[in-house]
Amino acid sequence: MKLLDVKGLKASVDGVSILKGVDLSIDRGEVHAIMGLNGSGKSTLSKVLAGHPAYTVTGGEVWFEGRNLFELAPEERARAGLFLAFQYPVEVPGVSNSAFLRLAYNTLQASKGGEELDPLEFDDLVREKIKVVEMDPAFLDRSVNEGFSGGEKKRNEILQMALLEPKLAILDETDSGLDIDALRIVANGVNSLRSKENAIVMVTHYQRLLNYIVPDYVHVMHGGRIVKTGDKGLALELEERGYDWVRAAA
Amino acid sequence: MKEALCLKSLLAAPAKEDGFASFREEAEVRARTLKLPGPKHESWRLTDLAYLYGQTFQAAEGAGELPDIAAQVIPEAHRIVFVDGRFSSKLSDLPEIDNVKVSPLGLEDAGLHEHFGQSMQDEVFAQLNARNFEDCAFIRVTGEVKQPIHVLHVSTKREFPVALYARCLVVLEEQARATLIEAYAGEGHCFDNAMTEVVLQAQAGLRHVRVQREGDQAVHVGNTVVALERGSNYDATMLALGGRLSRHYLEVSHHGEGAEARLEGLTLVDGRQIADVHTRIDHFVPNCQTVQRQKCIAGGSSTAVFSGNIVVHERASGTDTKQESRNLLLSGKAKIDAQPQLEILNDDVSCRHGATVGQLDSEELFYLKSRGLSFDAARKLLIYAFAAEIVDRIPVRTLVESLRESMFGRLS
Repeated sequence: MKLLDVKGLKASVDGVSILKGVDLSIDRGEVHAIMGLNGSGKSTLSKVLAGHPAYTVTGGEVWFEGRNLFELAPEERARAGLFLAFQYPVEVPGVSNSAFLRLAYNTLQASKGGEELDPLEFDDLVREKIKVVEMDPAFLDRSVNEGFSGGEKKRNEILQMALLEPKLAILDETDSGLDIDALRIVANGVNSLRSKENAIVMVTHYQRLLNYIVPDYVHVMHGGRIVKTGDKGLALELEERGYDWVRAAA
Repeated sequence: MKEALCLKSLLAAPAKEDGFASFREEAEVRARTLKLPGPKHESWRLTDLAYLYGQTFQAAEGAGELPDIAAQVIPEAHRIVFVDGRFSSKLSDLPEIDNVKVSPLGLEDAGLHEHFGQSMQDEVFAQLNARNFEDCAFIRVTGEVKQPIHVLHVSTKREFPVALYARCLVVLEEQARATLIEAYAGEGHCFDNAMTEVVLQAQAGLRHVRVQREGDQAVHVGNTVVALERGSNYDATMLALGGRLSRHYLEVSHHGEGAEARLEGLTLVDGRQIADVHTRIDHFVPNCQTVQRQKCIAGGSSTAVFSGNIVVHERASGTDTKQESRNLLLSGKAKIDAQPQLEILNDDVSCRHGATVGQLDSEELFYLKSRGLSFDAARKLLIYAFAAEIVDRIPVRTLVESLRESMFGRLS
């Protein structure tokens, strides 16, 4: 059974059709990159998979470990092991980051029958995990993402990934807005979380992230479909030749 | 004329014949002249008083059993407790230090009388309180008092609706500093009429926390009058959480140059609750500051009203005010009326105000759910976060924790 199986997925937002038949299959242990220009539908794909309420699925199906993804609410998808690192992580004023992280962690632990942690125990865990993204622990005491720089928000997303240990992590433009040092730190963090049991999907504009997190497969999206799939060489080719030739070929 | 019957019941018992007898008599005359507000009364038109007028109230005769106040106790505070409007020496824990005198009626320092009952002569509920109050907390502070002073009013369950009168006078002398926690709790059908007078003399500083969390059958009408003298600092957090029908009127007057007021309020209502907060801040003299922030959260088919009036008088040049009203509607049947108002009679001032009404942010909800939180957990977290900005600034940890718990409990 595949970890994720997307068949002919169509989706729209505000009545405008964006995804026009996406096919994608992902196995445990794999790293996929989805590339494409603005408006190609790649961010829509990640949001639809996570269950964002603004998007309407109009066709096709998605199976996550053999379960029909569309029968699961967003929180059930998270508990089933799907994780979206947001392109624009949401600021939640008034909610302390550490309290939020612990609530999310304990919710997932409870649904897995695992052990929930009290604030002191959780503090030990989060201080261990925070090293993965080299984040200043001071950010734990602040409101979720509030006043964080772009880079700090992205680190906070990867910290959540490290705590929640998803089976499938979708990183939506995690490289955007990062300077080269921050990019390296975030990429190292993601690499340290890779395993045979989980899979990662990187949605990105640019090839540069793929220098740090090397994908097994590269897909190119255009016009709401995946129009080309290759190995990491395809990303380099895109970098060199631009997207026009893929578009022409599609 | 239901309000006439209601007024009659409130004046039925004979007035107490104590040292305040003539004061009570004058108050009765005023109350009878003023009458209870009808639906067209300007200051009451946003608030439906039918729940109050549908009842008649008796005086709370005699002491019932002592209530359990464990849930209300603030261990680190001095405590003066009133049960059904009467001082309870058993439940109180009065300070035995020189710089704070907390006394019930009859044991007070007569020097406080000059500050007593001087205001709100045109407000019928304040006059009813003056006519009927059984007891009063007299608090005089000199120097700095580190321990908070907790004035706790508890109502007990009775067989018939009772009218209760809470009264408190707080005077901080020059340069005195204190924290006052004024709390209302209890259960049963009661009409709780509260009057609090605060005087801050030059350079004094008061941190005032008012928590109204009475039972869901209570009617609460409270008046708070604050006089600020030169260079004093008044920092208030006022919470309207309980009661079926509640109204709180806060009046702050800047009488001395350089006085500062920070007024924060939170109303949290659901079910069929109605909560009304009216404030009036007068800048009579130059160079004073008011920063006001009011938040209302309304769910179910509740109603929250906020009317905040800031008046900058002709002489008050160099006035600086900021007024913000932020509101969160949790249901289509709930209603919030928010009216920040400014009246400026002097050009040399800086005054800003604004109001917003919104619902829970769908992006924030989705973000929390995408991390596994149920809709209910995410919603609670966001509502609490909205409230926390006000509640978490209360400087008494145990109180913040108890409020956090009871608010979280109510939201589910």
